[in-house]
Amino acid sequence: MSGRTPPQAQEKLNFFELASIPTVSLSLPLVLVGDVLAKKYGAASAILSILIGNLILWIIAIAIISMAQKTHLNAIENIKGYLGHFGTAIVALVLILAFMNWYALQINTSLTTLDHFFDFHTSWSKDIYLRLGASLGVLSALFATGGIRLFKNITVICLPLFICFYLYEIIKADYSIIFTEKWRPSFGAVLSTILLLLPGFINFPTIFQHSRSRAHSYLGLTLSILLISIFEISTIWIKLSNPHLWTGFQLVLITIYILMTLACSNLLNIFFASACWQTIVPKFGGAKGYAIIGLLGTLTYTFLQISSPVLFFERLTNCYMASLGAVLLMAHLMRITLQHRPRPFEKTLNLAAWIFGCVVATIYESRGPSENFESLLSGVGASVLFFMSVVFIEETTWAIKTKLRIKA
Amino acid sequence: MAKHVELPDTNQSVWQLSAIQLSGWTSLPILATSILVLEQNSFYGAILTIIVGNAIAWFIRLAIIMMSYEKRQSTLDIAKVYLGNMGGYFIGAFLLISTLAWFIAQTTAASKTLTHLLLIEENPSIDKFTQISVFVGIVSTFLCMEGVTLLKKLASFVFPFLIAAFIAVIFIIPFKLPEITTAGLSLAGLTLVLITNLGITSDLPTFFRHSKSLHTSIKALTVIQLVSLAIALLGLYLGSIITGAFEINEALVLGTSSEVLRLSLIIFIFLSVICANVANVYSASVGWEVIAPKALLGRKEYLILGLGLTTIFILVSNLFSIEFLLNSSDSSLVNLCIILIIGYMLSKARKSEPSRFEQVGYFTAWFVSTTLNILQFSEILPIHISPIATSLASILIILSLFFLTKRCITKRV
Repeated sequence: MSGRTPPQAQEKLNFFELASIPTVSLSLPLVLVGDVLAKKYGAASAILSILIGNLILWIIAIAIISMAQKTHLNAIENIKGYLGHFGTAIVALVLILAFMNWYALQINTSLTTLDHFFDFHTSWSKDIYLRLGASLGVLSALFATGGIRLFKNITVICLPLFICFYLYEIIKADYSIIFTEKWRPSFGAVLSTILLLLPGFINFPTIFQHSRSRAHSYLGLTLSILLISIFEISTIWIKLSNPHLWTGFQLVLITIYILMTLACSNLLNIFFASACWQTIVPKFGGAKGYAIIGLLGTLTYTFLQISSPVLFFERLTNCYMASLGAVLLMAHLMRITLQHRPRPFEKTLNLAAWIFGCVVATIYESRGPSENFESLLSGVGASVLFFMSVVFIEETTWAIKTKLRIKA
Repeated sequence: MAKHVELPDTNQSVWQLSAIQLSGWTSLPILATSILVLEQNSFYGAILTIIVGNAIAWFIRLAIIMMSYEKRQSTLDIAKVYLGNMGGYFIGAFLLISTLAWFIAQTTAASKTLTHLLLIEENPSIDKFTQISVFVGIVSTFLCMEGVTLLKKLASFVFPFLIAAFIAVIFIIPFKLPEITTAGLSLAGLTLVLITNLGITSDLPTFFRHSKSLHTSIKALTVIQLVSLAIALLGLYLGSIITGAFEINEALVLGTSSEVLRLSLIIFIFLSVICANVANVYSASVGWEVIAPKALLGRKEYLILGLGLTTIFILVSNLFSIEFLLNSSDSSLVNLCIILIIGYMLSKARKSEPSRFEQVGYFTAWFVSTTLNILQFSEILPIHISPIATSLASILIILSLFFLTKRCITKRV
């Protein structure tokens, strides 16, 4: 990667800084998860499912970080090692579109949440949504010009404040849960917990490439997962869905919380997308590159005001990312296991498995929004099945060839 | 100037220097000046006024360029020589305010017109004006990122299209010569032409410091003045479609059902506002260099200025009138221009740089004249006295008092 800054010249982060970045940046989707899951599956089931889901996410993240730890590669460079140049270009392109989509979606989600509390949509003019959203998008681009250092500083300051905010809200919460149902995890709730953060986790090497050491990476990841689990579970008590219960001071706090998480999540989107851009344009990066991505994200938000294509693409991207995650994990596992023979078509087969999963997911998704994650599971299932079939054929063929050669 | 970064791109040709200025000026507010002159004068009187105004502007601009060419100084560097360091901070702040006001005014005006001219069917719940203004703001920011290097390329590329679109508009619009009034030939409206030109003139050193040589600068200045004179004269023909200071009568344009006219106007307005915004941000960057820490200089300053201006613009555009801000910041630049010219002539006559005492005098004159103008615009002082007359009178009185005092002190010593 000619355009890549050498790792030694980059910012080196300790475990707390590594934990702060994903915890703060991924906080936006967490604000409703506990409440929603508790309503659908019951509080006990929601708590257990959140814990199991996050444990699975931790295992996935450990595997993904381990892949890139030695060489300090970012997410895309890591994927290149498994899918080759062509495959990486496709992944980068999908991810760039996905990040632009998420950028717009994050702005929309935060404004909808704020509107839930303040109802400015009906009391102010119709363009207020667009104005606020666009200015928040440009503001994120402005923050991004400060690079990873400014991003780290913001998240390190925000994390203790967020912890205090959650503690304060739990203490103030006038709500107790009666656990009448059994402590039984729900498959749907576990899957929801995983899928909420999986696309972010697959891109973790882009952040963890800045780690001081493997120990700092793992400790940072564990701290982050613990805090995310606590935040998710807390929202069962903090009833964000009922704005009438909130006092003026609490409204100020939640507004600051949402605006900060929005800025940080979009900063994360910008840094993730920047790694993808560097695959296509190696010299892309730095303050100017980050600003360009932020502005493109804002344009996406400004012009994609109709939510159905955005949501369709978001569902599709989730399926693609889940399949990619499955392929990467299996490929990593196979690389460790199958060291007794050369695998010249390894990258091509990995890519084929991923594309097969994507095609299956797209066919399912184009039939309409599926209940119970049908398209996602089909995509992941197809990728895994394809992968296993290929490995089965490869391994058996190698064994027969070797046997015949020995006989001869 | 220890804080300044090294000056890039110091080899600009006549074409590049002229293209930057003309692309940045050929925008609606500048063209509207011709219409405003025509409102105060007869048709032939307006032509005479514009010619005289441009001739005076050429001389003033020549003096400003002569001031700055040797050390390749920006507007702010020259302001510091004549107004001192404190004056530099004030001018820097006013440059930033002026840029913000123009960015908002021009982008809002252009977006309003484009909203009407672009016939795209959209869901009624979507606000098309905000969408277009965000788009224009973001495109301007994209093109601000490389400072003068990209501005030069952009202007050189865009200027021929801008002129072609302008000529197409002039040929197609319905035009009828105004009825011959009893008013004879007069120079009514000359102050308007001068105010518009002087506001821009004070910014010239910032752009002309990139010139190849003094010879190139003078040639470019002459080209600029001749082309802008032609544009201003042709601007008189736009009276039928320009309604206010910044707006186009879209109903009339759409009423002609000429697609070429609509398309030419869209190209003209879009390109002119983008060039004007990019040139404005570059001009404001010298103001930013005075107040910003060293870490935020260089390429980053254009990013910060562009992104910051766009954010403010998105939030406040079309919400309230910024006429007061525009007038105040413009009058401060006009006053700066007058003071720089007086200071330059006095320094040349006495063959010495201004002393500390003189710097205080120039700064006081600028500060008092600008304050009086601001009080006039806020209607605390009577507005019927022309602001430029107020400025000239106050500057001359204060400078005379300062120089008399200095003479008395010197004689005593």
